[in-house]
Amino acid sequence: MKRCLKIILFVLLPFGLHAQLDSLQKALAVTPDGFRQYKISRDIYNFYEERNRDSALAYAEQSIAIARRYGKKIPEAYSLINKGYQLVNLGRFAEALRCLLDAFAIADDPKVPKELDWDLSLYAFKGDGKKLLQSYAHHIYGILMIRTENVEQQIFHFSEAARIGKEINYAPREMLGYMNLGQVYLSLNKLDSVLYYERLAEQTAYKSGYVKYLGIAKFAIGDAYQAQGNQSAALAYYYQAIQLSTEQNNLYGLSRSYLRLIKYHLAAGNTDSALYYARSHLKVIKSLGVVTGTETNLGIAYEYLSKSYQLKHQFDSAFKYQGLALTNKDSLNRIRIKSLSDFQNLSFGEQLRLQNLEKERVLYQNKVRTYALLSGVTIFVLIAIILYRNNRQKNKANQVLEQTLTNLQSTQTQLIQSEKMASLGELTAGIAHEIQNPLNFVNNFSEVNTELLVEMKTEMDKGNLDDAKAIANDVIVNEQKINHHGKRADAIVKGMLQHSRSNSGVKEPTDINALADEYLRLAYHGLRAKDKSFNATVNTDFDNSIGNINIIPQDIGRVILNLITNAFYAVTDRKKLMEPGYEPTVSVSIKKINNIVEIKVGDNGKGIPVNVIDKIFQPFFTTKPTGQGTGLGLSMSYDIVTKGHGGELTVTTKEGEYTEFRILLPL
Amino acid sequence: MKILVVDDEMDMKTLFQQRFRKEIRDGVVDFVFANSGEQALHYLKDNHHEAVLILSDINMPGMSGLELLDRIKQKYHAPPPIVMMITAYGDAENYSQAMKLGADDFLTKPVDFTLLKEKLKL
Repeated sequence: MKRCLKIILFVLLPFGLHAQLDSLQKALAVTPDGFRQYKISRDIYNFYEERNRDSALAYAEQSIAIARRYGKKIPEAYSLINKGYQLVNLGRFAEALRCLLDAFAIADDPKVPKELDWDLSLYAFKGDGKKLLQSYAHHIYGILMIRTENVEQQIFHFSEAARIGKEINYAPREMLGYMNLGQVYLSLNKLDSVLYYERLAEQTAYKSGYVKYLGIAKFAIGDAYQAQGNQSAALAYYYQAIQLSTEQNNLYGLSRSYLRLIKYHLAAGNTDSALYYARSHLKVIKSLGVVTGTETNLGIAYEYLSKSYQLKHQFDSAFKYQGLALTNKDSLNRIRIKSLSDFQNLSFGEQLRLQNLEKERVLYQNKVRTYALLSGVTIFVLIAIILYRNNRQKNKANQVLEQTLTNLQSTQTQLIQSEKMASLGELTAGIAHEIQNPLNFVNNFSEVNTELLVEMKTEMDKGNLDDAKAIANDVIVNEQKINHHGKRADAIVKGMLQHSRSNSGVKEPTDINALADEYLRLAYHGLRAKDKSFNATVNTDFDNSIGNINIIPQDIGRVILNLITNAFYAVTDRKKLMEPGYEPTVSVSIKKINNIVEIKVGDNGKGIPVNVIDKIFQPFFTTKPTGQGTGLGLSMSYDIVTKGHGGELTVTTKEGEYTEFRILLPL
Repeated sequence: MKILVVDDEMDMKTLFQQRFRKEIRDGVVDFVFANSGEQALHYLKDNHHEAVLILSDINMPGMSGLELLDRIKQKYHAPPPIVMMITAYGDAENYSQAMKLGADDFLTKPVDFTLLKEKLKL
């Protein structure tokens, strides 16, 4: 009973506050300073916040107007949330939602600076104003979700409120987040969670001194104990809740605390206490103004008053309040239904708006993507075109080059062929000589043999066996000669064919001495045939120990022929100078030195002038009159020796004295 | 009749010996062989009255048959030996040059021995 009296005293106290309010209202009317105007308006709002919904709403709107007038975005948003909170409590959910969305929009607007230049808080908050707005807006949004009965959203928004509050180290927001989370779990009958969050709220409140809503946390803890069957602990927390709410002029908290005591006393059969608290409850609800909370409304106040009278057996009063309870509940339900449908319409509209925004955003993104893609594709196409053009030009150039190369190659082939034919021409006479000679023997020896065989037969008929045998021996010798010269002709024809044939490129074991000798003879007789006056001493020095070496015979033969022909030309040229005692001499020597075969073709001709010595191995270089030489002989020879056989072809010369070409072939 | 055969082909000796074996056996002809113009001149120098007929190849290393012909015709006047050229090159240029230098006849290889024998009236 003592405690009850104490509480009554608290309820009577706020008269001093009202005097303070009067002076605030007067100051608001005269102050020219924007911040002061806003601050006073907000202080009045705070006064009414949990005391009278309509007044609180009016001052919230006034605060918004002042903030707008001075272009202060964050204070505007803050007061918008205040307004939203009052509207939630007045059951005007749709309007409340609009306020909250506007506040969120400001908090999320990147153009709005986060710094607070007008103090919004009771605790000199200096942090991120936008985070403060977010925490607060989430909190009120959560409350809106309680009223519109969306549990998932409640938990999400209260958790966000608490999280952000903790992040910006602002205790009131953190505390309120925990407190409401506890309330949500209470409605879900998750008592452990209730106790966990409400205790957190309690601790945060005590630590920071922000105790305005601590009463609500207290009765929630009491509810958890009540549900666990711990009546005395529950009652203790209910009394604490009443005391704290009274101290803080939090009529909202107070009304809900009273309700719990009424229920307790009704259950306990304490008729006087029940009636007393029911009357107090009704008074607080009326003082708070039109309220639509599930627990905080006139219908409930009348209902519990009626129940208290019923318990006291004053049935007329009980009947009267029962009627009022029904009427109020009915009108409340109508308001609630209208509000909910408004809210749903609005939230549907809001969802549409958000969907449209999302669509626009997606469209814009798609546009941006499309443009990016288009420009990317354009650049790609440009690069591709440039590359394609380059490639085409390159291809064209390549085609031209290839064509030129093909032409050059075919020209070269033709030239090489004509060089071969030219040297073949030089050989023709020699070849005739070399063929007619063996043919002479083949024909004549075979005719002789026929005669000899006839003679032999005659001798045999005569019985002169010794004579027949002697003739037979001659026939055998002749046959060997026929065979020898037949092969000789064959070799010459083959050599001639090989010489003119395209390069087979096949290396085969070759008697280098025989090869050199054959071409020497061909060259010599060829020249003799063409030029009757031509004569030269030919010295050969062959190394018989060489045996067969692995070379491409027709190629090396061509080189030797070329060098020997050149040597003969050189001595013939010098001979024309009619030097006394000049003996034209050409020498061919072949030696094996370790793993190398050295072939030297020397002459005592006119030598090679110093100014052309560097050019002699170049293609098309010739000292012969136009039409007489292709200028390919030495260059071909050079290629055959170096590229074809990995050897060396060098020259030593002294003008007017001698020239010596030296072929080195690795074995 | 002594005949000097000049040719760098060694087998010419055997061929002539076989082809004229009856004539040689009967002692109608006698052959002397030289392998080069130089050798031929050398032989003529020593035995210039013996050989009445000279058969010479043209294309030989060193002194050619035509050079030899020229030397013989210039050196040996009375009686000038009969010189017949036997060559693998039956072309007009060789022929006319041989004739110009005083060759008595011109035969081409392969040698037609029947024809040669006719010319020698054997």
